[in-house]
Amino acid sequence: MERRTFVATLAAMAAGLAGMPVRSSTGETEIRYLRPPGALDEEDFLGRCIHCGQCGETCPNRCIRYFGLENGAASLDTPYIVPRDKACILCMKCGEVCPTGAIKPLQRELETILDGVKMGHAWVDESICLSYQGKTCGVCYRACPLQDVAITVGRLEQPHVTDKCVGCGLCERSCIQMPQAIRIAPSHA
Amino acid sequence: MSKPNSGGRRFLLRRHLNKLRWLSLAVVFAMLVLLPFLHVYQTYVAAHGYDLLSPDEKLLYDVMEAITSPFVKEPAEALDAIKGNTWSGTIWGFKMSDPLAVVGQIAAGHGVHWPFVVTVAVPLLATLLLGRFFCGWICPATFIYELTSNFAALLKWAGIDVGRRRLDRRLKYGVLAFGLIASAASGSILVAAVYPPAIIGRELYYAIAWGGLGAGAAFFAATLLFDLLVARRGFCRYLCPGGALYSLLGRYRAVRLRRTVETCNDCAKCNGVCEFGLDPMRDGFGQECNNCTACVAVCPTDALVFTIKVVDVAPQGPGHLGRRYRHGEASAAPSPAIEAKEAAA
Amino acid sequence: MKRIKNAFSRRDFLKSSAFLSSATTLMAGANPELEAAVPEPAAAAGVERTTAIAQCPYCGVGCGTIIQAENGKIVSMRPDKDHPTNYGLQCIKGLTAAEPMYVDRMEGDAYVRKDVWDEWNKPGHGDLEFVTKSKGSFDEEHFVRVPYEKASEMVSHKVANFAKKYSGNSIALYGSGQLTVEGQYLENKFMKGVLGSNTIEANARMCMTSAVTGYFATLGSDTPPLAYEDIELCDMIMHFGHNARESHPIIFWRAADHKKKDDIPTVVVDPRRTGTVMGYEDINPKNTVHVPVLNGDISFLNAIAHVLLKDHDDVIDWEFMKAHANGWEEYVKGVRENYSPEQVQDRMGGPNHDVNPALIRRVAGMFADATRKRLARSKGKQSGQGYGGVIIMWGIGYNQHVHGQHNVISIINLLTLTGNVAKPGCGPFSMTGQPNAMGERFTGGLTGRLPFNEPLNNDKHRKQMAAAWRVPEKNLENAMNSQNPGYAVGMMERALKGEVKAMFLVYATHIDLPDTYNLVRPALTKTFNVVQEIYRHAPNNLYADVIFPAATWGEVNGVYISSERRINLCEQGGIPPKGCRPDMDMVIDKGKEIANLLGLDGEHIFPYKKLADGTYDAQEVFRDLCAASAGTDADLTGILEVEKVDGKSPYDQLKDLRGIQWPAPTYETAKNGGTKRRYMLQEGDWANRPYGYFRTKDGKVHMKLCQQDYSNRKELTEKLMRFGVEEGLYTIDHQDLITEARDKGVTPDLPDEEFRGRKWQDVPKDKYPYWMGLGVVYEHFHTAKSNRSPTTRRLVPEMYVEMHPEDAKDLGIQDGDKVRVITRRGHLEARAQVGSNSLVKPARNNVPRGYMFGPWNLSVADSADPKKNKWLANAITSRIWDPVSGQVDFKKGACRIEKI
Repeated sequence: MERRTFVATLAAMAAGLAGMPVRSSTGETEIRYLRPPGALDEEDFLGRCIHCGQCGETCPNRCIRYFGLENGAASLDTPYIVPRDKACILCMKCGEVCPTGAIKPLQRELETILDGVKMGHAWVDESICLSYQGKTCGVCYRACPLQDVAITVGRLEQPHVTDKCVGCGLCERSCIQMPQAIRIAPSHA
Repeated sequence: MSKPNSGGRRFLLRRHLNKLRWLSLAVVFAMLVLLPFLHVYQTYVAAHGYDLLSPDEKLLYDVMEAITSPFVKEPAEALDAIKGNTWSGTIWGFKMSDPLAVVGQIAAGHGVHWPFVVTVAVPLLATLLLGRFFCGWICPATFIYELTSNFAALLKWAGIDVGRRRLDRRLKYGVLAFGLIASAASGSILVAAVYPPAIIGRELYYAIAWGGLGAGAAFFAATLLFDLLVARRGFCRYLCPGGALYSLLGRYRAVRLRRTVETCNDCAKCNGVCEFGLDPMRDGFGQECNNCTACVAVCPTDALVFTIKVVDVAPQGPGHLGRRYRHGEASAAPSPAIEAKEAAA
Repeated sequence: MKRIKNAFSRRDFLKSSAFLSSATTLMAGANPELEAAVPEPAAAAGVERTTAIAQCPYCGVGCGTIIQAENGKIVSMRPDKDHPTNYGLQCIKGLTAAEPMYVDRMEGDAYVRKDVWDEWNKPGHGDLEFVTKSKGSFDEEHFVRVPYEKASEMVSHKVANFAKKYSGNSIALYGSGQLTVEGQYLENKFMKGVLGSNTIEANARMCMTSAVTGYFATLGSDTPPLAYEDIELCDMIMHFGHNARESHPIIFWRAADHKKKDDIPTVVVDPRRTGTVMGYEDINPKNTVHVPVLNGDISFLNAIAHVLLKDHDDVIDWEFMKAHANGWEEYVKGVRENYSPEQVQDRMGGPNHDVNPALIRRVAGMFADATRKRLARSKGKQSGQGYGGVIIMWGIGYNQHVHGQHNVISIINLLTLTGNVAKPGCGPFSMTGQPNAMGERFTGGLTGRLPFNEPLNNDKHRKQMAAAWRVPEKNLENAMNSQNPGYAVGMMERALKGEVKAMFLVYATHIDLPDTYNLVRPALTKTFNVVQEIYRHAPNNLYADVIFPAATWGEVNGVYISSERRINLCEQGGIPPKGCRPDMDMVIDKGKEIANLLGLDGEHIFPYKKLADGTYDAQEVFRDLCAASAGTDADLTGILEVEKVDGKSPYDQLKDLRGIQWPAPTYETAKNGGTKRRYMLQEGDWANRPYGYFRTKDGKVHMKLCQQDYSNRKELTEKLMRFGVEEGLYTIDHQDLITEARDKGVTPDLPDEEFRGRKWQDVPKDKYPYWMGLGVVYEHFHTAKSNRSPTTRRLVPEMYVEMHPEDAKDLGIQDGDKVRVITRRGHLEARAQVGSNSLVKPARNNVPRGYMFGPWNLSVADSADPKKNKWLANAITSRIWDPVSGQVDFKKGACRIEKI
């Protein structure tokens, strides 16, 4: 019985795994997501992340959540952030606690963050943005933790994103327009 | 600890190690349940809005505050000291990881990342010394499976039959190999999806912090059914890739069990109670033994002891207090009682 | 299998789901991301959408906004592009005003303390003076829910008992600049007319009364003379203590746009280099000047006058002063002799405050040039038909001083000296903090005042008001003769002394008063407090004996008055939660009951009828008010005329005109939107005006030289620093000291500067080396609403204290460290925000060396509960008050920093 069962079980598992969609280069899910701050590039990240869940468990902002199978089997149980739901406040605790360095341990310091965090880049849809429509808003500017470095404001608090934006998503989260006028283009897409 | 029995039953530590083991498993499991609650509490503290919490949230806050405030003044920071689970965790800054995590990550990442590899040092050392002790003393899945075993025993007593099949122990090495190959092929640590302690650690966190469960919970539920309906401790014995790795690493463990043949009476209670279906009565511990000490506790003559040797003792033959030994080869065949017990293991 | 459930799960305690999901229905268009983020589908059928126009409930600019509601629930705001104040602009506070509407609201029956209710239910109602013993907590277990009528009955009996036994002046009321004018009017009628009490105060006392009393002293009436249109007509704007970009954004952008178009110079006088300075610098750094004066504003203004008199004689308007001002001779003599730029250097602020003589002369030069522009338009004559000149705006940063009234008088002195007054495009422009603080001033809901800008001791007016209010004259006389020294602070001190027995707190929180733990909370523990509140966990509820759930802005009808005297209609946009009544209604009910218990005719005094929905008709009260204003400085009878002739109701007039600027004494003025500008030398020619060009007794502007003298500052301040520290020491018993502090123009605290430069551990525990100021941030308005609004709360989630990088280095504090800010009176905890690249949000403003700044509006953000609350900003402030205006100085405390 034993050898037959051995082989049979192996075959069954192989069939099962083959049925599961493995990560494609663009990801399977429709949700626009970001990886935690200081994460390696997507391919390296997936190879390094051991799905331990410590980053989410340490995140004081509760923005880190975990994939099921909706982004492919390779992303199963890996951390991601949806900025519109809960953006990253760049506390950098996840990098401290990540055991494998899938999220690099970075100091919570301006220069280090600007160099090391590459979650994505914000862009403003001026056709929706209130400040470009005759109101004065400026919420995204005020929400940005790297104010005047990653984003500046002009007349009527109109936002201008600079090339230093790291993509934490606080601007997108705070935008009071529905749908949001400023959003992050993820770096992994 | 290795004193042979003489006269009345005095206190022997090794007889009570099983209770210590239950305590260890319970503590680990309790921590895995407590830590997500503490994390949720930390987030409430960090959010500075106690008055805006709902009544349920306030209850969680108040309970966690009551538990932690004698020890911790700044919950937002101080409670970061212990994080994670048995797959990979941090205790006061000291990181430890499951060897399967390290091996799996090397496979998935196609390379060695030394800062991570060093976190396996303590577990690895412990495994090299103590063998598959993780499976017996720490694994949160074991905690559930042990409860399931007891439940199965209850069912059996009530007349409902439970699974008692025996499969090939080598299956799990195949699972391990396959899991590592799949991880290497996909570039992602897929083996973590079929390893119950990692699953439990994650799922408890998901359930408590996010109010939902995922694929892993379904998988674990399937293994529970497998345990109950097909084979006792079936997943641990036959399918667990981590168990396979621990067994491999613990092959030449320093601390192992030994049967004191002089005091053994071949009652086969040890075989009956061994949760991994091993053969202690015939000196068959091997790399699969997880030091659960159930056999030690149950032995009526305290014949089972711990010893420092890197290989198992060669088969020592029938116990000197047993029928076979005393009555010679006439009783070569094992008794029906013994057979029955072995069949039940 | 998707693990993560609904994005706005129950774990999201910010409860944004209700707001966002209903708001989505207003934004058309299919957007997959939107659907993914907020799964609740829009219900198209069966949804009734309504709009209502209103004035924004936040700052005093008074932007027109449109409330949008669905099925009676307010879901969002839209700016009103037809409103002349904002033309469709709105800042984020206004845009998110719908968010805190339904968070943490109370509804249903009134809350009464268990022990109070038990005592009341004893035979003969027990001890009518009984005050609850469970103060300091607002947990459910201390309260029983009692139907409104029964609770109201108990309150009326207890209050009437206090009034009979201890005089009406033993009852106090702390009202609000966010209540409608109708509600404020009736509150004042109730307190002064029914109870004969003079102890009625409002949160406007902490905000604007320096401007009020400054106007009274100089122009004779609390009347900001300008309209917002004058911004676009002026040649220079100065801001004193006014971070306009954060506190009045729409006004700032109007000024900035004007600067961009006409390149006018702007001067910002503020110890911090704020976003206002930087915004102006972005437009043109060459004519933007930042003057970091610390408390020495009187001297600064006098020094400018000195320089103008000396070097810019052509801009001095001698004719105007001779014809329309008095006191100018002393003023001119005084500034010439004692206020040269060199002489005032000791008062310009501590080290690194570079207000040197050259800077003063530069500002004086800009001032003169702007005045010359106006003169050029009026063909070289001061009294010609020109417009333009200098507008001086100021905000709470300027009013909140122990010499606040003198601050304001000094501004008006300077403007009068140069003829920058009584013409379009120039003059003093106080910016009100609250949307309807002017209503509080207008309705006289303050100690010693009557409606329509008259004091209690104006016999003729008092008689007129007694008739208009239908109350006995005797009551108003009693009110006049009753003392409430110290105004709001004094009210609390009198409570501590046992002279105030009961207090009403209506739409105003007590945490905006200074010295919370030594003054306010001990006082509130002693008095029988009746609170009208909207939020369950409001700080007032900690000290309430009875809590009445109230309806808030957007759920009631009424009017607000903005900074430019514009009376704006606030329509009811949504239906209040069950059991929440309008504040005005509750004042009427109690007023009637108590009047009856005191032997008056309640129905006669409050003859208002209820509408179909059970609420009182606010418009009826407004008509009452307009009629009562006949012949006064704030005459609104024109509105009634229009109603008589054209058949248009007052509210419809306000709606169609988008506000009427008071006064509107005739049919024509009311039809044309009121009086755009006051004291433009036109009023002396009005028929039936009993006064001259200005509202003073002699019809002239009263100039008064205000002094500032630091020569014995140390000894004086040492005495001031004993209040709040020593037991049993009351400011109301030391009014001579208060007056001296005002006359010398000092600060209530003085830091021990010689202990700067040390590590925080090395500063002795009884030394306070740094200045600490409290102020506002753009994202928050006061304390309650914007902290319950997810958007604004998310932007500034945590209490912070701004520190100069060098100071932080000296102290050994890193950016993001948690610190304790300690003054003699109390402490608060905050995150250190070091420099403008700080990662602690927001990182916008630059404090000078030796000065620290924190917002006060997060004061309850972590919890109103004193056990959990570490951010209560007023725990640290001093209670020393201006003897005339009653304002205290929240910006010059002396503090010590400790790392936690």
